[in-house]
Amino acid sequence: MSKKLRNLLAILISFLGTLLALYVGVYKLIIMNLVNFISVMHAGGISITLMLRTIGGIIISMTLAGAIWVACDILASKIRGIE
Amino acid sequence: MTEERYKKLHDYFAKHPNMAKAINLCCSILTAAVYVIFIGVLVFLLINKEYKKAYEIVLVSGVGFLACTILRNIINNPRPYDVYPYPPVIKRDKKGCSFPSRHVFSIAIIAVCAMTVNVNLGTMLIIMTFFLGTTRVLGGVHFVKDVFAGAGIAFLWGIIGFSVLAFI
Repeated sequence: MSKKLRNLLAILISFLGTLLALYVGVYKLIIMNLVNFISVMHAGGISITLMLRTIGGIIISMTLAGAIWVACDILASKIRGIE
Repeated sequence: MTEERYKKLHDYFAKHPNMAKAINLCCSILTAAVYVIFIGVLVFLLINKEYKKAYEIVLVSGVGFLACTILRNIINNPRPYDVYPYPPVIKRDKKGCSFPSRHVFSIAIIAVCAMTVNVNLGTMLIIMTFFLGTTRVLGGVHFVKDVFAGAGIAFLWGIIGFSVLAFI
């Protein structure tokens, strides 16, 4: 594989990694978790389990987003040929 | 971020003063917009005679803001410009009280409060939270951990606050 193609692939993987990290960490685990929590709250069905599940989701959100981003960044570096 | 990265950032903004102005402007506009939205939400609730909801929002955000202020005064972590010899892009003289970021805490708690009124407004404010956090870090007035902690504590505080109010 030529160097130009490897660089292009690495940039693509980094970009997709960032998007995936934002989707999972911010959208799914923060925004959708809060939306779900608030809709249940409005319906009057709030429970300790739901509260703990929402809190847990938010606590792990940034860790998971970071892990996805780092994994993609490591993969991109390998493809680029930087160890 | 390491000292080397702060140096790179400092050098970049020294070479590009317009970018430094843009960071300052972004931070000011985002902060002002959030407070205007917060007041707008409260006025909207009062006009619609939803006094209980307005009271809950003021209580959760107010107590959270106070708790955040007390917490950062107790912890009193140094700011990046206290630790490294590079002046911040966002003009600021105050020393310490870096952790957690009160700007980010405020916008995030307002986002949770706004979400109880309108989901789309709350979502927009959460996105603004991440933009404000980025400008605070790039502006050199907070470490990355400060803005993450500010946002995280605000989200958790919002959930616990509204849950407690729902249980009462």
